[in-house]
Amino acid sequence: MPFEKEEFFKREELEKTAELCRVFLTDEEKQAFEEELAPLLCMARTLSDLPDQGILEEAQETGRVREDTVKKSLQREHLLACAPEQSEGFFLFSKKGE
Amino acid sequence: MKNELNRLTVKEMAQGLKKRDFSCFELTGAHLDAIAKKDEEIGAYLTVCAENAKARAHALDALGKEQRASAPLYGVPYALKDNICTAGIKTTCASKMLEDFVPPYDATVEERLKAAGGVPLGKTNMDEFGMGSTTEYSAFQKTINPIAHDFVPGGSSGGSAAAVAAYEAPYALGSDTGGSVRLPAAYCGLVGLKPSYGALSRYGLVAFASSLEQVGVLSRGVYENAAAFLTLLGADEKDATSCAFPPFDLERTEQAGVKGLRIGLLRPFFEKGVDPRVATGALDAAKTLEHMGAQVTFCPLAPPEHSLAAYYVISSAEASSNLARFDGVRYGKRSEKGDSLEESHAFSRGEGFGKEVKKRVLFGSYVLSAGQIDRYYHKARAVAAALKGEVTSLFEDFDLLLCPTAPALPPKRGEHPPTNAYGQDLCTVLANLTGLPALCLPCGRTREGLPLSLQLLAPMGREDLLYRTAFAYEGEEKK
Repeated sequence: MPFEKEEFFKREELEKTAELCRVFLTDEEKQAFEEELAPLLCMARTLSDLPDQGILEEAQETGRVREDTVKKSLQREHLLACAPEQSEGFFLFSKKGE
Repeated sequence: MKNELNRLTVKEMAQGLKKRDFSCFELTGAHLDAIAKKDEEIGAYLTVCAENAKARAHALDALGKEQRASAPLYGVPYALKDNICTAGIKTTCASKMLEDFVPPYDATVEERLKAAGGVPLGKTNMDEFGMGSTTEYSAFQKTINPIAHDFVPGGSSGGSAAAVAAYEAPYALGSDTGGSVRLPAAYCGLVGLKPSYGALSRYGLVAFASSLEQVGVLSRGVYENAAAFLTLLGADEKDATSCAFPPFDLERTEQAGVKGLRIGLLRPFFEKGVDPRVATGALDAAKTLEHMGAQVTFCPLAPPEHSLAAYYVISSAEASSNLARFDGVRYGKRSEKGDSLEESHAFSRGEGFGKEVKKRVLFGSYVLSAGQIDRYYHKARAVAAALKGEVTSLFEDFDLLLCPTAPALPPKRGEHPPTNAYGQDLCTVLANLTGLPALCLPCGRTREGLPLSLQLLAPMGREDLLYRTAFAYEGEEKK
């Protein structure tokens, strides 16, 4: 096995992250991911020891923006046709709650 | 002869069509026949648009001489990776999440190829949402390497590579976030381009990691790769990150040769962690270029391990953000489970995403979370910025940089452990983190018959230098 137990993802961190990004995980997945995320986590940890130099400069990079004008776009009915459920020009979500 | 039209070079296809030696319908038919005969075994295509392709070919044949575009790829068919939106044709990203998604619009690259007289044959298999290096993470099927059936075709554009290598398409589009065009091109013995960031429009490419990815081209020869790139090149008002890089003259580039070009060999990619057979293949190719008049010397570069780590942090972070749109409300899979909107989202995403996608989304959310963002994500951006500065300064002394495309030969199907899978991108992520254009091309085979590949990198917007060198090398190898 290439990774030590202490390099695994902790269960509570995994569950908290899964809730944060709204992905349901089965118990089997949780167990597997604790170990299978270790390669990514170990790679990332090599970065945390590097000096902070360059962070601010990088953060200041900006993108180009478009002119703020109304242009022809996709038609509402074509977009609605992609939805699992739709009704009277709206996306439909028929579950309980909100 | 007409049964073998799919085995002509693309230049011969274009010339034959122009001289009316054969029709676009016959050329398209030859490719559809090849798909029908072989693709059950190869598994390159997820969707074959046989009737649409035939109808389009027939319509192009019916046009008069003056109505035909003079584009170099007029009448030539092509395949598209299944993360490039096609109006009225399923675009699944090889994911159960988008199993039934039919986009209402074409991606700009698809629009441009069709406007230039291209004939789309179908949509190709891939690792789900582009996350993988083997095409084994497709939710629907496996794809085999047509050059060596026991091996993976590479990924994530493995279906595009397999279709071209198996003569089921003359050329194909893929997308490259960390090597997803170049790696499958290398493993299937093809030419693969990752263009300069912003050179081609990303409008209609289903987003994985927006700051890193570009649509790219896979082909058997250099000519059609360059011709497709020039057809697609240009700013697009629908993609704010696209730029107007100048085009180049295809014929002149084909003839220019490499005399006087200064080529730097990126030393870390010839040292530890790289299979000696792969390194030797790229070195031999460099020697060939030297014999042809290029000046070739080694040059230093920061350890690639940090680049690879930065790539996985940035790409996963962007993936977690980009894939947040798949919630089962506006499009995509919706779970039957869940008593609230939040629960419905979580079940829909849990059921719709495959294992590798879930891992990347989790990891991306983790590195962006309040307690970790400085430790991982900001550090990764700093590494990318430093790398960009380092490589830019190398271009003061060199016109091009050269290294192997992959650190190892293609893995066998079903045998790769995940650690190796992530390591396969070691030589390719450099171009994505810096935005530079990179081209890979075949440079021989091992004794076992596995393809070897070299990778060239050029300054931003200088794809002409990549193709100039590739044309010269390809010509020399054919002698």
